[in-house]
Amino acid sequence: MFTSIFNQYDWNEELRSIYNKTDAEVRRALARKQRTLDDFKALISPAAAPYLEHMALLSQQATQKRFGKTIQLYAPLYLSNECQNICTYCGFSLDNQIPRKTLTAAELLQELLAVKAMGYQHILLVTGEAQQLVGMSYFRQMLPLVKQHFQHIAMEVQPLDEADYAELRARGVSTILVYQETYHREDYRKHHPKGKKSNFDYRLACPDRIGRAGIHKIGIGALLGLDDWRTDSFFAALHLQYLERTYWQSKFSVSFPRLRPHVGGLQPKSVITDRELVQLICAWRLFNGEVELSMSTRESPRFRDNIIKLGITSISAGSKTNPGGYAVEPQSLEQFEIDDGRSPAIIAQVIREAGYEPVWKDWDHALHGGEANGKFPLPEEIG
Amino acid sequence: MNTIDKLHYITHPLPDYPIAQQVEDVCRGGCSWVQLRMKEARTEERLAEALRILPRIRHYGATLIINDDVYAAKAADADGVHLGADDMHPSEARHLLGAGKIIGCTANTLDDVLRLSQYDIDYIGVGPFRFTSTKEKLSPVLGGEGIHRIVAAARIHGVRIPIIAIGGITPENIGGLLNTGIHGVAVSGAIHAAMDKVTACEAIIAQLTTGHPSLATDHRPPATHHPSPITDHPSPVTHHRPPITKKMNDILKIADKTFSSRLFAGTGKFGDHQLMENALLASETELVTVALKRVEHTGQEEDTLLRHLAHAHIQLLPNTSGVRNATEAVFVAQLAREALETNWLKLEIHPDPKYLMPDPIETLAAAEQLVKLGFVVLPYCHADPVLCKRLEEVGVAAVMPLGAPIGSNKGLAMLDMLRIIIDQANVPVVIDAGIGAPSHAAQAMELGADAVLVNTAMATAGDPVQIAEAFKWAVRAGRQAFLAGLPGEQSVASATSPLTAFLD
Ligand code: SF4
Repeated sequence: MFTSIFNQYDWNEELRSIYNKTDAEVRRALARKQRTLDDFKALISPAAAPYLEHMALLSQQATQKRFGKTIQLYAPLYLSNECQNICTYCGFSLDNQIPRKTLTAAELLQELLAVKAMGYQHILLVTGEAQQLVGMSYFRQMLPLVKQHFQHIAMEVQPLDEADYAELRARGVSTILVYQETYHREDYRKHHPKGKKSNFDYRLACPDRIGRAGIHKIGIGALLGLDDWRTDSFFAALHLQYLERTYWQSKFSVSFPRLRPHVGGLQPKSVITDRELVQLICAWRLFNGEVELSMSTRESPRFRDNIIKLGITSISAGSKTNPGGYAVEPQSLEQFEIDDGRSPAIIAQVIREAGYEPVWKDWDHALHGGEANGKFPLPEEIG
Repeated sequence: MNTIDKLHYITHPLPDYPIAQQVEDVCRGGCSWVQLRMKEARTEERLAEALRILPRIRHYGATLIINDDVYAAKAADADGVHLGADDMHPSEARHLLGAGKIIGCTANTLDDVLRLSQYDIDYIGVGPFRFTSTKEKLSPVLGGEGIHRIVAAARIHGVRIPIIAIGGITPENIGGLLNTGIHGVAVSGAIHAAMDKVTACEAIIAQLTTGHPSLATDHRPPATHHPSPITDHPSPVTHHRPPITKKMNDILKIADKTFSSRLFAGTGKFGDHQLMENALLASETELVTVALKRVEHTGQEEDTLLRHLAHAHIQLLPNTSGVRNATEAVFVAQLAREALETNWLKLEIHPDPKYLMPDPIETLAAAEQLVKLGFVVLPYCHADPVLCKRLEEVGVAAVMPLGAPIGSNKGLAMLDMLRIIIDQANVPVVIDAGIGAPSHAAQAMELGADAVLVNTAMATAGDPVQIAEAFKWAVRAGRQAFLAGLPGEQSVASATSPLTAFLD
């Protein structure tokens, strides 16, 4: 379990070690073929700032070597904005007085068709945490619909138990994303004062449960800005390294959500600039040549257009971050503000102009093996 | 002119680690230069502390320097004083203390060094090397490069005063710092924050000594004098190893056991038990594998193999050499557990008598059963990354992929595969088979292997004892290089149009 490794590390010590990195350590990290966690620290440290262009170039090369000139496209679909948690940075937080909505099957179908019409075959289902309303029974009911229309299903929902993940996998879910938000235990408590999410350890162990359940791809990340982004990124890298070695049959992806303005109005503790975000993305790539790096529409068009050449491998486009946002109720309140509102078609064009191929489909339900294809009975069929 | 030590220990006020104990520990670790630093204290308090520790300092023949406080140094009759930028002027201190005492000063810049070098002082502390928690007043961090620049420039300007690097130095940094032309280092946290202070201190001294073999630490009291590690007739009693690896706690752990040597050895093919014993002792190995088929079950004879392996620091690792499938392996393993009274087992199954290639399918099956039977299983296997992960999943304690066909002495023929295995392993990786020369062993260690197992190359060498010792050094060198972080090949890349220009 990652927890036992995590507990051996001290936040302040890592923070200090990152800020103490020297020019020589950065240059050594740049020169190496295979980079260690310590090299990663050097590359995200302030000392690496002067080497940004060099890092970008190496990152571009490493990304093309593994992924070719391709960029995956996906769209988030919000199933519900119900949430029993208080998260200081989120528009859906329990203490925010907003209209709550959970898609019915009919509404979901409308949304699915709208997203599909934009060209997508990969979809990311998103919810808050409302175990009663939007729990496993809701997912059981909705997933067959989604599966009919999409070849790759990812979910970013409340942390679940291992058995639930195994069941989701059997129902056609290939990817689960769960972000730790921050690896700073005390600050985590501050930002998650109420609800199931306030249990730091349960969340920290979540990727382990996903891995054990044999989910094909696991996404992790930290919400940049909640705490020192460099230290949080170090812990995310430590997490990734552990997960890769333990669940060696899984794929991994990392995201870089930056704290954005929303109804609650939390001000970031450490602001990560565009330049630093590029540094961070390149550092990830130089640390790990295989991990997928993903970017949402929180970022500006100009930033996104350029970053696709620097290490990112998948981006969303035309996103709506409110349940029903695509077709049912386009005007409702979003979880976070979108910066890049351009349509997927335009984004695909941008990708092509950069010399890359936009990839809409990179998975097929057939790859799920027997279980998802009905060869083996699902739990309720046995029961 | 006073002689200045290579290692200075700066005391640090800690609630649960009194200064007197700090002094005792570092002196026992071989450090003979203590700087008493009590930033917030008054002169009387400093004086009292100095008088408290002086008898022990004298007992060890060490030197006591008082930080900041010339009056306390004079009153206690300490050996000297260390002055910060805001403390007393060095000339005034010299006047007060007289010619016989040591005066050291702190410098942050080249200008400081040049200015200070005009006075009658004995050494200059240049720093801070890194951010440090012991310095309340922070000056710009110099890093190894900054220190290098200052030292080099000072030398060009004809400064001959010994320069001591100071501020946040850890054992990891010392190797690099020694190349900057400094005379020595001053440390604090590197020792007081270590679990085992004495060992930490010894490790740093070993490093300072290895880096500069000519700078003998001859002032060390005989009580802590270590025998030279190179001896013709090593005996287990004197097998104290100066920890030369840069990480202090660089200890290999497999299952419940720890090893300070990363060289594992075999017992076959030596031709002479006494020669084997001598070689194993010279190698300083702590884990030796023995084929059960070679163990005499009577145990009565004068010259049995086991008698020659009976050394407290040597752990036996029975192996199943000779078996051809999982069933045989599990049977032999149980015999071995009884005969050698250990549940450790090197699992090797090679059905083919010609190349002795390990059988992956039988090995995986046997490993799974043996783990369930409570064995600590170290399987010998192909350099197959997926197989290694599968073995890991059934609970083996380490994996032992081959570097090349057994007995071939070809080195790391499976280099690319070994790299992947090491990269993704969650258990120690021991490179077994194929290591024919110390350079191969060093390469395996540089790659990040946790240990190597050497048999044929040692047993069949012209002089097995000499080769065993050569392997010992090679494994350490490789390990140290791995920990130090090898430089990569500089890839000179250039973009046609800058990729990050959009950020400007
Ligand atoms: S971040 Fe997630 S859990 Fe927290 S309030 Fe928002 S939707 Fe709920």
